[in-house]
Amino acid sequence: MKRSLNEVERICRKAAEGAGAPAGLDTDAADGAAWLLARDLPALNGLAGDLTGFPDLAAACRFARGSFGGAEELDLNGKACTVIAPMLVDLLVARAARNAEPSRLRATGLSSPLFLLPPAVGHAAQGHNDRGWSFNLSLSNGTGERSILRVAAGGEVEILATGGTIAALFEAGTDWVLEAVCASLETDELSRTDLPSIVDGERLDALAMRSLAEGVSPDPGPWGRLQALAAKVLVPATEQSHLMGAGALGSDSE
Amino acid sequence: MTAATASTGEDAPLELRPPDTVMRLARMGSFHQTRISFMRSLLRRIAAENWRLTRARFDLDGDGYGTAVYRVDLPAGCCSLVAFSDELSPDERTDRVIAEKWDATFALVDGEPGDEDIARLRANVPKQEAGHVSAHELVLSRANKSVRLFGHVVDCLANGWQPSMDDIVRVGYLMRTTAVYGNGKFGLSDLENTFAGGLFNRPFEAELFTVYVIREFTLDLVEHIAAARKPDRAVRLAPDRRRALGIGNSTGLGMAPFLTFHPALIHRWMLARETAIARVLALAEAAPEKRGAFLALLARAIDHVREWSTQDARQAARTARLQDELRGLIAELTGGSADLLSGASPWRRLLDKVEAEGSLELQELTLSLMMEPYGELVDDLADQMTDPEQGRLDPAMSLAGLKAAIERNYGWALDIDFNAPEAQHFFWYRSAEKEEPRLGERSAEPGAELETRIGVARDAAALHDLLSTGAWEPDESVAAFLLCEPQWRHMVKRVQLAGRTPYGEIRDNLLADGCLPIDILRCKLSFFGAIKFDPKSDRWTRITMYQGAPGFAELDRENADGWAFPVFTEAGDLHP
Repeated sequence: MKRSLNEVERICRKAAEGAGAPAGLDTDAADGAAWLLARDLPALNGLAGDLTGFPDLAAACRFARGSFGGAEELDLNGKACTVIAPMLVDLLVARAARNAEPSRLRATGLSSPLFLLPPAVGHAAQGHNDRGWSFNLSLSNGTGERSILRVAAGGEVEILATGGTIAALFEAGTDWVLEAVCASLETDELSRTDLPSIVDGERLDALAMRSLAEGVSPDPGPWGRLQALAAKVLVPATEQSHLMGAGALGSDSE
Repeated sequence: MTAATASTGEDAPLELRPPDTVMRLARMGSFHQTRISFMRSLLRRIAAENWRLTRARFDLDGDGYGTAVYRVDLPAGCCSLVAFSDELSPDERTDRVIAEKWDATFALVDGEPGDEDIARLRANVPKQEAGHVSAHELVLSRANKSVRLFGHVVDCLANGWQPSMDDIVRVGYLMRTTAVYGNGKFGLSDLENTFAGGLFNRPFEAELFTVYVIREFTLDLVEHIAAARKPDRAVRLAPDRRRALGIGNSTGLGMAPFLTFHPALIHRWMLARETAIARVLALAEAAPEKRGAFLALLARAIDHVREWSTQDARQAARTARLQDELRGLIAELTGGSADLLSGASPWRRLLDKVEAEGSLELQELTLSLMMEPYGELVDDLADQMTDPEQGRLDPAMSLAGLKAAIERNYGWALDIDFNAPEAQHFFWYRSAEKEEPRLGERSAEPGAELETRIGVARDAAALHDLLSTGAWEPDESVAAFLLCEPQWRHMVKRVQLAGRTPYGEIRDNLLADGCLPIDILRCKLSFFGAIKFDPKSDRWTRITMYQGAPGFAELDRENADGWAFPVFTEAGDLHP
């Protein structure tokens, strides 16, 4: 069944809320999932996996004081990466903005790296202080091969990968090492690569326009899991709530 | 607050009423429709662009059950209202969202639907939330007949006479919509897609256009049933009766979260309204024809308020006082204070006067009336009510900056003692019963742990408390803070947004004992252009839309604006 992007966003948001994601991250995770799905990129399986895979989702979205500080390395093992992705991008932007130079972050144990794209595009498209942030998100896994997610100032996205890594990139759960750079202008890292371009911004824009005009078809498996989670935000009805909760006093059919 | 020139597009800064004055529930609950309300601007657009309505299909049986299609041609293309009219037993008729059947259901479709489309819509639209539509549909709606009026009007027309104006005005409509959905719900076209299609480009424009065409359908429907019942005697509705029949609506608690969850959009609405007010107040003088138009409208407003019928004790008392105040005001402006409007800064002086002496109802109605003669001055603001704000977090902001922003924009919340039970008396929630938004009493009802994020005042105060403990370095970035305290992300974004959207926040505690959701509903409905608010409790209200508006066939540039504050009966109380 075709769904509107608004439906996707609403179900994902309520699912994240129902699963216990922190307020605000639930909306960002939902926006991210809808952004990816609109571009025919995998989203729902990773999100549903994170929302159901942690006994304490709130804890899986939080870092201990002192676990990062000024350091440039984060351990993401045990973290709900689809949900916390915006926080990683925010940290990069905050450091770049405050130090007025490119910021770097190395993270291990990253899953579902595509979820870094929507918040990066958000910052690149909007940019604080009119700097126009750009991102180079280099990913490696156990195979020794790399993939790169590039977001240029203005928000254009390019995904570079070899055939050996593209499948893993599009799967949830792979253990990635992230070498991220955020800069206010295009850096050398953005242009120096011999990886083939798998997906370019023009194609993503065309897919997004099509999804907007025609809707999207979510995979029924994760969609059903997300719907079940979304139902957790609802309060069971009682006779009292039926009569009083919405103020159904007096005749409502005259 | 003095608005920045850039933020309102003014050539010179205007003095706007401050958010602390405007964004209070009691005042918002006294708003009236204005020239830039969405129904008003829509009808101006329809007339200016000469939209054309065609009844493309009208397959209804003698009882009025069946399918109708209305095609509308615009310069940018065409769309169609598909209407399904079905039999509904009285025990199934309820205005609440938990209903499962309705007298009529509707879809506004992009383009003209073919037979396959009609069949697909017939299988889904009557089910409303339980069905599913496609991105080719822009709006989904349903309506119930007014038990008080629909059958009576049919009887009258079938027997060859017109229903009395008293009867019509007492109710105001033949059908009430009970939901009008857009923006991607149940598979509908996403708002961005709707806007990209070029037919509609303002907030709720597609939804309110749907209601306008539904009104045409209800008028055609009663005439059709009457003619089928007594072909030899039936008459059509007289033009003055057609105009007096608007469309009703029942609105509940869902509108309250909408205002809370869309602060940037609400800011745009409020800013446009306050800018319109400020432009009129800034006028150094009022030309005689403007003064005359205002006084004529003021006199009309007295009769309009007289026809505003409600059984709600609170609103009835307010309406009665408003009538008295309007009578007193016009007596002064045409008598002892006749020079007020002919002197310098007339509208500012008039506002000062009603602020000093009058109720909030009078103050806000006076402001609405002041705008009426000045279309050339304010109508452009209707194009500035969409929301370009993305609300993205500024992660580099310092915690000191964040704390200062709370103190600057949420000072009204910091003095509330949230340890007092009355400060958190209510909780807002979504019921498992069709996700109906509801309000519960925290101490007496289950479900508070699932409350929706309406407690902005409480959360702002709690975040401020946390930032005041000294546990965090003031120079630390918001990004670093949120890695450890992610539960505040929602509130941090809101605080940052509030700095750019000062009219975006209702400056009252929506959890407090004494909070009246009806005030929030009225505010939003006034922006739609609704009139004759008829609260049925403090949690839901009936309203009338498009009453007095010209029908599609007679709408033109000359009459597109003259229908505000309509009056239909002679002076004197309505007959009981």
